[in-house]
Order: sequence, then C-alpha cells, then structure tokens
Amino acid sequence: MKKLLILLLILVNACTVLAQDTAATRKFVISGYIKDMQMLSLDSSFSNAGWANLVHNRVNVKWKPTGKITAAAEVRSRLFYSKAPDMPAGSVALRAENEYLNMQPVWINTREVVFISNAERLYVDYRTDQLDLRFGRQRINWGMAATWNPNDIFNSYNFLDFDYEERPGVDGAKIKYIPGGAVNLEAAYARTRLRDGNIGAIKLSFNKWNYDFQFISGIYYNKPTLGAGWTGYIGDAGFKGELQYFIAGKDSTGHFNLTLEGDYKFAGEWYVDLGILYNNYGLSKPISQANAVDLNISPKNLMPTKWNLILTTSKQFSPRLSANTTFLFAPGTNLFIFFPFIQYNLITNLDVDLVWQSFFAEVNSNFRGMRHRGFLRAKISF
Amino acid sequence: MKTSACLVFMAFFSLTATAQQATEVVWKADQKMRGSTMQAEMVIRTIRPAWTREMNCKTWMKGNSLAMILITAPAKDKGVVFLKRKKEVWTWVPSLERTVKLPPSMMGQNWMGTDFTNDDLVKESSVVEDYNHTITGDTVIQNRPCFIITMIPKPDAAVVWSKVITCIDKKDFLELNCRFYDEDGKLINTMNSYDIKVMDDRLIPTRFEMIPTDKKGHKTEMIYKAVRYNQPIDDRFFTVEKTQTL
Repeated sequence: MKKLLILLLILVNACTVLAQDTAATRKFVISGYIKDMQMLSLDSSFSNAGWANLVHNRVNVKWKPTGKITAAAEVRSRLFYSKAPDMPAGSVALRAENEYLNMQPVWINTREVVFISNAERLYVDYRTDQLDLRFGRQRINWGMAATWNPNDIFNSYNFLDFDYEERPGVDGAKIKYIPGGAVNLEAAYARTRLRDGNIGAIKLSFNKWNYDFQFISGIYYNKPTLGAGWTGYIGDAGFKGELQYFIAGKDSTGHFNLTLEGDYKFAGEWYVDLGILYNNYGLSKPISQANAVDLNISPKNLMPTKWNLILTTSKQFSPRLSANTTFLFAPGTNLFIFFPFIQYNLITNLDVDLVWQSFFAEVNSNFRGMRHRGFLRAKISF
Repeated sequence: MKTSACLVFMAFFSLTATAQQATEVVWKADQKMRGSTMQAEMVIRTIRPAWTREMNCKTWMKGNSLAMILITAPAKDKGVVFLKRKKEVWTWVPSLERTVKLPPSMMGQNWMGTDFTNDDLVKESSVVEDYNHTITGDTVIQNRPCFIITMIPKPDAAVVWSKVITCIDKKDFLELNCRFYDEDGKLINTMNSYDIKVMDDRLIPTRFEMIPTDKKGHKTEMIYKAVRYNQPIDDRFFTVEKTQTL
C-alpha cells in the first residue's frame, strides 16, 4: 500500500510540474493549501497548559482529459508534534473508519511526533447532461443544513472540527440521474472497514414552491434507514431541516436525529443562524464524569446530548476580516460550548485565524469548565 | 374653466409622455448593458485606505431571473459559485463539496465584503419593471449630455432602495452615474462608470466604481475584461448541478 501511495504522490507531483510547464495546463486544475496551527490546551481551571503544533498540507489535482471525464486525486499530509496530554500525537494516526482501503502511509510515528499522509480523494467521474457516475474514494455529502446534517449518512460533518472541513472520503460509487428540470435521483454505495459497516442509499431531490426537498431510503450498517430534508424560506429568512431515522433491529434500538435551522442576514453584514438538534439516543441528564461527553460524532449520534440549541452569529467586516461566534447549549446535561473564530487575510492567499473552544457542563451538580483550547493558524492557499 | 381643464390635461399628458420617455431611456440603457444574455470576465477590486484586494470572476446572466457567478481568484475562494434562479440563490462551496441555499435577506447586503450588494451583481430587481421613472433634469458627464432620471420603486417591488437617481447618456444610452438612497432619503452609495469602449458588439462603460457615502477612502471597482452578448445559453445551464462542474 505504501508503494501505491508513493506512486500517487509522484503522480501528483508530476501533474504539478506538467501543469506549470506545458500547454496542457487547461486540462489540469491544481489547488490546495499549507497550514501551520499552534494549539494550546488548558484544563477545567485554565491551568496545566499543553502545547501542540500541526503542519498540514493538502494538494488537490483534477485532470479533465475530455469534457465528460474527470480524474481527481487529493492528498493530505500532516506533521503533528504534541506534548499536550489530551492531544496525543498518536491520535492523528488513527485511520478514518469510513476508509476501506488503506492509503495512509505513516512516515513517522513516535510518542510526540507523527508524520502521516493520506489519499483523501481518488476517483474517476463521468458526467453528461443527464448522468453523473463517480467511482473511487470520494465525499458523498447529502447534508442541507449548516451545522448538523442527519441526512449526511455516509460521513458526518463535525462543526467543531474546523480544521478539517473537507472531511474524510468513503470508498464507493455513486450514480446520479438528472432527467431535467430541478429533479434528480442519486444512488450511492460505500464500503467501510467496519464489520457490517456498508452503506447504500438512494436519494430523490426536487425543487418545488421555492424549496429544495430530498427523500432518502437506504441501508446503514445492515439496518434500514429513512430520511428527509428541505431548505427554503419563510419571508426573507432561510428555513432548513433534516431528519433521519435508523430503524431498530432485533438487537439494536432505533436512532432518530432531527434538526431545524433558520438564518437571516441583517443590515450591516450581521448574519445569524439559529438551530436545534434532537438526538433520541443522546444524554439528557447531568453527567457524573467529565469524560462521559464524547464529541466524536457519527451519523447516528450527531451530538452526545439529546437536545441541542446553537446560535452562530458572523460578520464580514471587509474582504480581509471576518469573525463568527458560536454558542451551543444542551439542556439536560447543561453542556455549553463557546466557539469564537476570527479570520484575517494578511496578504492575498495568506490567512491568519484565531480560534477558541471552551467546553462547560454540569458534573455532579456543579456547572464547571471541562476543557479549553486555543488555536492560532496560518494558511497559505494556492 | 376650459382653459384650466386644457392645462391640466396638457400637464397630465406631458407628465405621462415624460414618464414614458424616461422608462424608454432606462430600458435602452438596461438592454445595452445586459442584452438578452451576457457572459463576462471581470475583476472586482475592493479599495480601502490602507489596502486593496482583488477578486476575479466569470459571470453568466439571462434576463433578470437567471445568473451564475464563478470566482476564479484568489486561490482560497476559487471554485465558489453563486447561482440565482428567480428568487432563489445557492452557493456551491467546493471545499465542503456542498450546495448551500442563501436566505433572501442576503440580497440587499454587501457581496463578500465589497461595496456591491448581491443584488448589484445578480440583478434580482429590474430597473425597468420595479421602478416608476421620471426625467427630472439634464447634465453633462464626461462630455456627454445626459438625462437625469429619478426612479421610485413601485409599491409592491422588493427592492432595497427608496429612490435611485441615474444619469444616462442621451446619445448612446450609457448609465454614467447612479445614486442610491435609503428609506430615510439618505444617499448611501454612488456608482460612476468609466472607460467607455467597444466590447463585443457595442459601446459600453467597462469600469464601474461603487462609493459608499459615509466611508471615506472606501470604494469597490468592477472592471470588465471580456464581455459577450446575446449568445444562446440554455436555461438548464443555470442549475445547482452545473455549479459543481464549472
């Protein structure tokens, strides 16, 4: 597998050189970024500081030999150094569960330093006006709402994982039929590396009454699942929602996630997004141990808590400066997350971001901080 | 009595004729800039007292109801697409591989931190159909005699401004100056047009600057690098599916 990855990296590199030097540039599209992020970790009482650093590179190559065929390869490499006890370097070496094929060579793996690469996307796409067929490692993103996506059953988006907005891909295939108008029918299949962990589903999408609707039916880890989503308007405000039900089996319970969301942009560039998520399987009572709240989410468990309210407000002050702040509150557990984000464009293609995440909850009848993290990130896009 | 009635009739007829002429002038100017379809490559330059930022875009427009904008630079925004179909607006975010539907309240707000609004770029409102027009004077801009036309939105029109005053060249129907007023009658933005050139098959201004009144040293320039008019574009081009393949 390492040989495959090395071959892939050489191919990507060769494509880059070719794209720069020859008239074939038009057929290649190369993009990506390199980021360096300094992380600070503090415990519940804002002490015991731990430091970590992540250098993160992504190279995306698209090759379009004809108007109908696209081949894509996207490689992500990370060099992680950590001395923080709650951010161990080895945690980045964990393979995403969705990835059936191992295309992740680990170049260095010590207690404090990990250097790792991964083929995040590797697919071939054939597209006509009415048909789109994609085979290989890809992102199948069926979400419609901004924060939580119950319909995103192939791979959930985690709004807290701000440094990885692309999310891992899945190894599979999808076919989309677009008969015309605003209707399309999509079928997708993904094989994960978990036992009985295959996902297959069909999705019908259409536009009616200024709303986009979708209905989903499929099999998730050998259990049937049904879902629906919409996005439209009430007056001048956006109104979105998604619901997904994972039907109970003989030896498992049913899972149900529902999210509703509204957004509005006020005069003066202030944008507000208000959302609610109900997860029937989530915690609804105060916890007795801080680590009972597991923020590693899955399509079945988009939050560890049953009821979740989120408010995000953002403002673009100028093309250079934007900021947003997210407040999340989960009644019952009284989990509270404070998540501000400032983005500053220092020069063209160089952004500097300052991010903070504070987690609070009621533990043993005592509302207190659980942990706090600060991030300073520089990103060069190309 | 007869004389008074005659005067009232003449005044009414004169006002109606003026309104018709004003609407015709605005229609001609609008047709000139937009054609039946329009494809353009442009640079949008946001200028602030201490810095300047550039963005490159490609746009496709068909009437008032269909529009698409593809950002081609800078690198971090490259590939982002805005699609408008009638009142609905979507954006394709390539890094997330997701289409996001935008609320209608976005339309009156500034576009990506520039001084242009979303409406300025995708032309949801129609300067011809959404306003009543009156010629209120004459002026000369860049040595070109111009009509001064006051545009007041129709009661049911969903437009941002309470009044727009525009200056349109009498000979070539070029909109050379436009002032936008809020509901309190306060001047919010001024747009000036420069660099008149033949692009594709017609003479048009190719550089537009939007200046907010109350922000000293702030302005945004929009410069056409290439324009093509009246090329057939199928309505199926303006779909969410297409945003993912541009």
